[in-house]
Amino acid sequence: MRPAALKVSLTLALAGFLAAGAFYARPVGAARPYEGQTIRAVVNAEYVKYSLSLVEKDLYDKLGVKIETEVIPLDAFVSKTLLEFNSGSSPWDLVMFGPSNMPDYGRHFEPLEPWIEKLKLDFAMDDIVPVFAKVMLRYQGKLVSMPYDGDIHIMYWNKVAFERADNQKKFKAKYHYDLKPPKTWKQWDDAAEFFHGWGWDGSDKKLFGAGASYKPSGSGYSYHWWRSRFFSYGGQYFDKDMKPLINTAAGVRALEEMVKTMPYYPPGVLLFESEEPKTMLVKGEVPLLYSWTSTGKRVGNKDESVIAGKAGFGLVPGAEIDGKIVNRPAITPGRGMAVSKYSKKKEVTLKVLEFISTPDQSLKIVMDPKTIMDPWRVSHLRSPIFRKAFPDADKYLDAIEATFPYLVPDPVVPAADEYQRKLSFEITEALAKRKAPKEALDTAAAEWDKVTERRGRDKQKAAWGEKLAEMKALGIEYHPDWAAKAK
Amino acid sequence: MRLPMLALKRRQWEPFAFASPSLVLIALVIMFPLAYSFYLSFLDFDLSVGPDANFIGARNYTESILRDGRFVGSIVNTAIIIGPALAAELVLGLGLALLLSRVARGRPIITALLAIPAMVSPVMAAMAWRMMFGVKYGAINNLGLQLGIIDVYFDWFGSSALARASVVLVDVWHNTPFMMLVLLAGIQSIPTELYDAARADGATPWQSFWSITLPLLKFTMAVGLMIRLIDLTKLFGLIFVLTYGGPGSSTETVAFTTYLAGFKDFRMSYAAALSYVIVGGVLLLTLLFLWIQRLREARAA
Repeated sequence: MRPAALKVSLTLALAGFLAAGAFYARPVGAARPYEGQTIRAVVNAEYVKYSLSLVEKDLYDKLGVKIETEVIPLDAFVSKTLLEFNSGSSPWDLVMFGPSNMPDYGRHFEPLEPWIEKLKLDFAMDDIVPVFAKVMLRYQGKLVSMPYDGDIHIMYWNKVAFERADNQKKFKAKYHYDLKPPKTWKQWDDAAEFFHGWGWDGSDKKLFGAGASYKPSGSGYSYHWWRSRFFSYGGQYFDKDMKPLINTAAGVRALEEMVKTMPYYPPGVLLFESEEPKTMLVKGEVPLLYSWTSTGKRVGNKDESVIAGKAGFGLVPGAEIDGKIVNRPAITPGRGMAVSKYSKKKEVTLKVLEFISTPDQSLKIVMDPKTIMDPWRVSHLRSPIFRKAFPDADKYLDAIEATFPYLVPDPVVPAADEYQRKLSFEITEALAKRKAPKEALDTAAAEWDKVTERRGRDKQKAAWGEKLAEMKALGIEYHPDWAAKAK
Repeated sequence: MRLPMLALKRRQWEPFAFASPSLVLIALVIMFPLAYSFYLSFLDFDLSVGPDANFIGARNYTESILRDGRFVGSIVNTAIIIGPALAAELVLGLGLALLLSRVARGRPIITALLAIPAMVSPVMAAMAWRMMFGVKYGAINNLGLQLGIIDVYFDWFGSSALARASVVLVDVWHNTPFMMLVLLAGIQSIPTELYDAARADGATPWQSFWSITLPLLKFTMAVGLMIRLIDLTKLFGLIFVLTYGGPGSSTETVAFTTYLAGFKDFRMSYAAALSYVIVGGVLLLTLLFLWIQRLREARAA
């Protein structure tokens, strides 16, 4: 080799070596500032663990952090995690929780605002759906969590059932009005009765009238199904003195209707949790269901759904009061993520929380049908990718957005979980015909009083006072006369 | 002079020294929790409220028996499940044990095969049966549909009676092998000479069963029944997985209600009191059972 050629080769080799070194060395230091650190997260289902796995790779590339996720099953989640927290410690850094239990969890969470200042964190707060930002994120006025799952109920229907000319004709003959997706509870109950027990899809199968989840496990499925009716009939959880209002005329009417229409629901409904009725909807066995927003992703998934492209999405029915329909769909209850006050890795955990909450990363989580996580950012609803993710995804996302102004939160006071479970249990007692609706709700009200006494009436009253004002601001107030005049 | 005394003392303390590791372990893991939970049952310790607790005397006990309709209801439910379950397990276990005692070849293999359900953990058994009873994808309903016996899915837990019957069925499936093994051991310990003598006297098999097998099996049956009775008062895993106490509260057992009080409502003291009410109830039942047994023996003598 000539000396000149040798010099050129050596120079090129040296330049290449330096460039390669710079390429590998620079991003590692800058892009993985927490290289080698692992944080522990706790969640309440395998599908939540799976949802975190969707951002794992990007998280590692950006921060160098790994997440070790522990799953505590839904039914034991609140008790086990609170048991740890109430004893003054926690093995977890990142904690998933139900926002309705914020009064019980909040004091164990790290306030975010000081860290936002210190670490220059950006949670894109303006992009969070206002109703979630209002009711899900704060404890005693301090920001302590970010949404992770925007659970609400919307209504789904099988268009085949509603659009077949034969069905429309039969319905009109029987009920004297047109067959349309129900807007009121009366129309819902009529439709459930009409569709039950025959092949409304043109088959000779015995299909069912409507779907529901009535098992009192978790925080109480039957309670979630009852309260949309209850609130649209003018109900409220407590009065200003913490006297339960669940056994008033609104509650009794809601429960009586549920008991009366039990025969139009699939066998086994008393032990159905969230997924059973969704499966029946996507398999074309029930024509109507109001359920979590994640249902829509299953509806649109052609691998399992026979109604992809043939489903309608809309507001949960309401009650006609003085010629106007009052809709009161439920926040049911969603999931939040927070940093444990007892964590020894607060800084890195906060960076992780910021990362998984970014619009791009959280979109990946809420778009995936296997996560059962639902949109909670405005940008999720407007995302062009999400809006084309499956047939009619745009209509599905529009229905979610249209529901937001009417949402009713859980009774977000200390022991919310216990209040809900006691009520859900009594609702199921009535649905199983072991008690009359009024008797069941009276018992539930007595149980609620016991919980209030145990927790301290004054403390509960103060907490409820704040929520009452919050609900009033959302337009939700007690109307004792609505139950009688609702159509 | 001192040596024999030392030896005597050593004879006194040596057994305790050898047993001390076990005694310490028993004290730590059994006696202390028992004593502490008993103490706890007289407080108002509520983990959801905070770590502070006050002495409230027997209020938890009076509440559980006099004012807690759900707990009293769970006592009734437990009794409704225990009665038929014990009877069915005894009759089926005895039948299988008698059949097995007559099998000359391959008895160990057949016994082992029949005992398989008892080797499955209660939660696994409940999960398997939950899948079998499943409304939509359950094996039983699908078999029924294919055979044309039913034309729409059947809800095996749709009413109180059905749900309780289903729980009893699963418990009988799971625990009959235990009863079978206990009774088989009892049957095999009966001297064959008694049967030979009875045969020589012209007794029929039914007379032999009635006059030899059954009287001599009474003690074994009593032990088997008592063990199962104590087991059934703790019935939890099966209920949790299979029915979650439903529909309504129709299959809520005392153990399930205690779990709800302690680990869902965090009323630790109240749950401790419920546990002691259950222990007291089982103790009473056992004593009653033993008393009846002794009374019968005395009458027979």
